[in-house]
Amino acid sequence: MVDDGQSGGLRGGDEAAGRDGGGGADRRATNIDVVVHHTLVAGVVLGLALLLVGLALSAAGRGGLAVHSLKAPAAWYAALHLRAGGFYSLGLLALILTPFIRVVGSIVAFAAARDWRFVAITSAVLAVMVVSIVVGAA
Amino acid sequence: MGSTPTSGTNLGGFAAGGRQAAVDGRSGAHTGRFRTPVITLIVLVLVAVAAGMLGAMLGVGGGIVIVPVLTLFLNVPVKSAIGTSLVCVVVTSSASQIVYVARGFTNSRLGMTLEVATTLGALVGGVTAILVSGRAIFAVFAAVLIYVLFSMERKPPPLLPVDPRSALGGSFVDPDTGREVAYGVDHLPGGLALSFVAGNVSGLLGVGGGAIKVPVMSLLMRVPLRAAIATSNLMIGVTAATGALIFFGRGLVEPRYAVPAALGILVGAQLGTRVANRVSAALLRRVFEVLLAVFAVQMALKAFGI
Repeated sequence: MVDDGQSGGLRGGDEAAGRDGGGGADRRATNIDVVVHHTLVAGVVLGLALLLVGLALSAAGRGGLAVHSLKAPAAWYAALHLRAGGFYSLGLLALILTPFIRVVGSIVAFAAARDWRFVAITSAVLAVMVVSIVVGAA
Repeated sequence: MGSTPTSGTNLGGFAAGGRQAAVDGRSGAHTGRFRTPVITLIVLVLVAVAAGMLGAMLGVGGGIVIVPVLTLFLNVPVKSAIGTSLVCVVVTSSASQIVYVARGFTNSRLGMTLEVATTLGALVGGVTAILVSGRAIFAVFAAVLIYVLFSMERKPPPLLPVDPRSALGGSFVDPDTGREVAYGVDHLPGGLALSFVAGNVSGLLGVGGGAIKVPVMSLLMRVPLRAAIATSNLMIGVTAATGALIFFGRGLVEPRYAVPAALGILVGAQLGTRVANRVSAALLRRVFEVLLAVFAVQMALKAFGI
């Protein structure tokens, strides 16, 4: 929806800049890049949209820029009650999680291309990220 | 921070009443205790735009700019400043990657391979911190940056022909010439080792490590500068996201700083990718050298405890 328009615009820009649009390239990398591109656009557009809704709610007097972020359950609750703080926290969370989704998307794309070596390598990256979070949160 | 143990930390626990209180508490906090001075917001957004541009153009995180500005000029506690800066690095990376992936500059296979070493390096960064003094690390880091600075003055190494047996090479259309540049990747073991060090240093010093990754790829692994910048940009986003999520969980990503900064970064990164596409690789190299010199001085000062 929103992100379709966004990525379409980007690709249009690329073609205007003289890029072949990937049509001529037969490399497996091209498909992986398309998947990664779409996950990135979706994550960034979602995060941006949530932050902008938050700003709009702040302008309407429904809460300002708080000191503390809300954890996910409380953020959902606040957002459902149209409090700006809920949207700010969810927006920031969406932006922070985008690289994770990107890594997961890469694993899926490498698997679809039957590139098992890079499925393993990218899964290792994801595993270390998860371990880091567990260790860091402890 | 410490003086305001509000509902922020215990919002995860949610009795029904607690939830309601949390929402009410939030609105109380907004209207009563905290008003963001407009000047703070303006400074924050401007700094974020600049940091986003820098990060997108040069493959580094903006942390080295954002943390000092927040702590020195806006009196933000260091941990909250690092939390904000981590979010900024993540957003810089994602926003510029949208463009760099579409252009084919980012080498996802190479980035993910090196990222294994970087994330492991960041994970054991805490262990290293116990064994080595912080000043020693700053001194070594400064020395490395000065060495890199002089290396970059030499001619860039010639491209390595693509090795059909290796999956790591890449190609992209160079906006300078309009021609396709295909390259192989040299010295993978050395690149992995130095990526480990880059992750280690970033875990220790709270810097992204892009200042190490770009020269390692460009000088040692013979990756063209544009591809090195875009691939480093991918890697710093993945590394920073891990840290950002930990900080978010601890309530150290404060919306009052992070929201304006993230919006500024989104604008800056978009500008940065466009500017980077217009300027020549030679000019990018020059700007990167200036950045390295600034980092080196900053690290040397810290090594001497200034």
